[in-house]
Amino acid sequence: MIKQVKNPIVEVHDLTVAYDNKPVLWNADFSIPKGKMVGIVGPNGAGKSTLLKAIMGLIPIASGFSKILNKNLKQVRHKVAYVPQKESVDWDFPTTVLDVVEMGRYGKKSLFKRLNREDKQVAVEALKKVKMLDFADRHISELSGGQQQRVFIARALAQEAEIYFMDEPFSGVDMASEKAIVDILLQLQEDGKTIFVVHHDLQSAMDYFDWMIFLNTRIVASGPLSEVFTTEILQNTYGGNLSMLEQIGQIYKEKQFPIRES
Amino acid sequence: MDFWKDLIYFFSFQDTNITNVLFGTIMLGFTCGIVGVLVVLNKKALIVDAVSHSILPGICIGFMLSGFKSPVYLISGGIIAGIIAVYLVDWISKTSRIKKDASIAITLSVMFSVGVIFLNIIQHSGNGNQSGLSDFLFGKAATIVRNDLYVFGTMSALVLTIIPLFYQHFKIALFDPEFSKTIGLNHQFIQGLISGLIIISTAIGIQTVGIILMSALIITPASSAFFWTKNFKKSILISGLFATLSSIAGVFISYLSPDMPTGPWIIVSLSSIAIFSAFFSPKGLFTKNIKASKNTKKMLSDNVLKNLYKIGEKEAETTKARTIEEILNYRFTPLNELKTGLRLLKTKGLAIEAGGLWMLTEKGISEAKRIIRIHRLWELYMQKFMQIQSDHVHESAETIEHIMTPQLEAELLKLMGKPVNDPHQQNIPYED
Repeated sequence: MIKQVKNPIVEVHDLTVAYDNKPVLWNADFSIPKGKMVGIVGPNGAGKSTLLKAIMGLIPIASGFSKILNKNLKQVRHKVAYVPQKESVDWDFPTTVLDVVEMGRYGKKSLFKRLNREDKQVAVEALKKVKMLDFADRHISELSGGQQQRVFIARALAQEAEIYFMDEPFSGVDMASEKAIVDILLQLQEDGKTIFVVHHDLQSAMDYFDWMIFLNTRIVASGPLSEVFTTEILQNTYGGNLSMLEQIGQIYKEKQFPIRES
Repeated sequence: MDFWKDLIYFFSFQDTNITNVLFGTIMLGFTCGIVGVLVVLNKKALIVDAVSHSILPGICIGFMLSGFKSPVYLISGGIIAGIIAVYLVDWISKTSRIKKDASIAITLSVMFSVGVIFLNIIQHSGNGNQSGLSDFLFGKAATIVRNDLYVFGTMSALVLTIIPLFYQHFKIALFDPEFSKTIGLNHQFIQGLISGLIIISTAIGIQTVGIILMSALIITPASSAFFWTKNFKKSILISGLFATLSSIAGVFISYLSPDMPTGPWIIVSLSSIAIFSAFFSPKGLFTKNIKASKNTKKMLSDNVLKNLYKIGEKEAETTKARTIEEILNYRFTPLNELKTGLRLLKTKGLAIEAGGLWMLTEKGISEAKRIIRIHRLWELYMQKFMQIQSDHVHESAETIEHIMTPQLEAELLKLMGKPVNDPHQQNIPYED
């Protein structure tokens, strides 16, 4: 069941993504209304992170497109904030917590300019919101996993975006951090922002999100929580892969056959 | 006193040869040092080796075209060869199944062997100007002349403009490439820029330190700098400083003793800095040992202090003077340890000695009370808040008593009020 909406804030149309010419995400097609807290769930290797990365233009797409606020990503970059998985960076990099958060300001600002007082203020506020102000001058390697995640979220807050894409913000995170992050997400939603969260715990997903995307190399369902959280959809999502897709994907890879004819 | 005379002459800049070599080397060292930070953080250390080896054929072609060792021709040739090498490494790893490290090794050896063949052809061509061309293999700083300085200067100026100008780009792209792309930063451009910086600094560097040691001049100062700072800007400056100092040292050593080659001595100086950093920086091995020995001393003196107080606690005579035997009788401690502990207490002003008798000062009593108080408060805390049996709480409290801060102690007291007894019904001592 895929519920399409009018005037979506994010629209994904027939999106196919392939790694080494093997499709890992097939024909994703859905639309999301403004102001939702969207949970993206599915088993390991379902293509959750891939979906986010494709929307954020981080990986090439084989076919289809995505639109944000009815525009191409390039035109609305400053309205979008992306939080990568915290494992994707080297936390030994010589920089402090506040430094990382200030990087978020460059989403709106030319990289050739210096940050002004307002920028610094926004960064400090963001750190305060994730309850990490005491750590502002700490080196990032001195943080726990949950604290690292909160720093990443503070950086996204400093971007003052309309739409937030977060890749597994709750993975490897302690209880205190999880609670802090949830509070921030709720506050963002209250402020009218739209949030996408890749998540792997179904139990808490029911509490956190009001819109769900069920994913397993294809979109199984997308819609309001109450409409899509059904046994049938859960079974379709988690009850094993579609072996047909797996096999045909393997052939694509072996033959290096074009994913689309043109 | 010859050394001082030499030193003064060296830094008086009277000798233009020395001045040329010194300034050339300093420019080069500083440039390579700061570029190194970007290279190491970009995890591109191996590329430097590929570039430096690949530059040789470019230099040879530059020589063939100009007919003499024109710095402009040689360095241009080197830069072009460097660009080809970087492109080749990428092309091989992208279009074939060959992984990046293997494609670096392939590029390096193919380009270098072509260079050596060219070098042989030139050496047998009968061109008298070629002598010294083979110095590029191991480097020879003494060959730096005024004309080289202009080329070095231009290249260094270029590098020193690019790095501050693109400072934020580098920082964001190197820390978090994915994030940098999502805010619209052109990652390929930044990678190209870093490759360009590597090529430029290598092209001007190999005349001095040679192809083989080139990567050390770029990688070592940065790697040492990271021991000392956690700040991106500072690591760039410190790395530049280390490389500059080593360059001066290298030139000076080969000036003192002309048999000594400059390039290798620059690298030896750099390596000494790296080794020193690994041992003595705040995160260094030696620093860790110092910390460990401080901790041992602290535990020892705290324990002796505690015992000295506790003998008196039983007799309600904490200020009474004790013999060493009395202390040993209360709780056995190896004699040398006990003596060290007492000596430490004396230097801290916590205990005084008179005629073989030891007694606590007022400061000592108060400190002993503090340690015992923390020990007993912690035992109580473990019993109350961590549900640990009272016969299991002592071991943990033994160490906690040495490291508890006043803030945490205040927090403990706030949590539990001002309890009178610990779980073993011993009195918890407070200041009166």
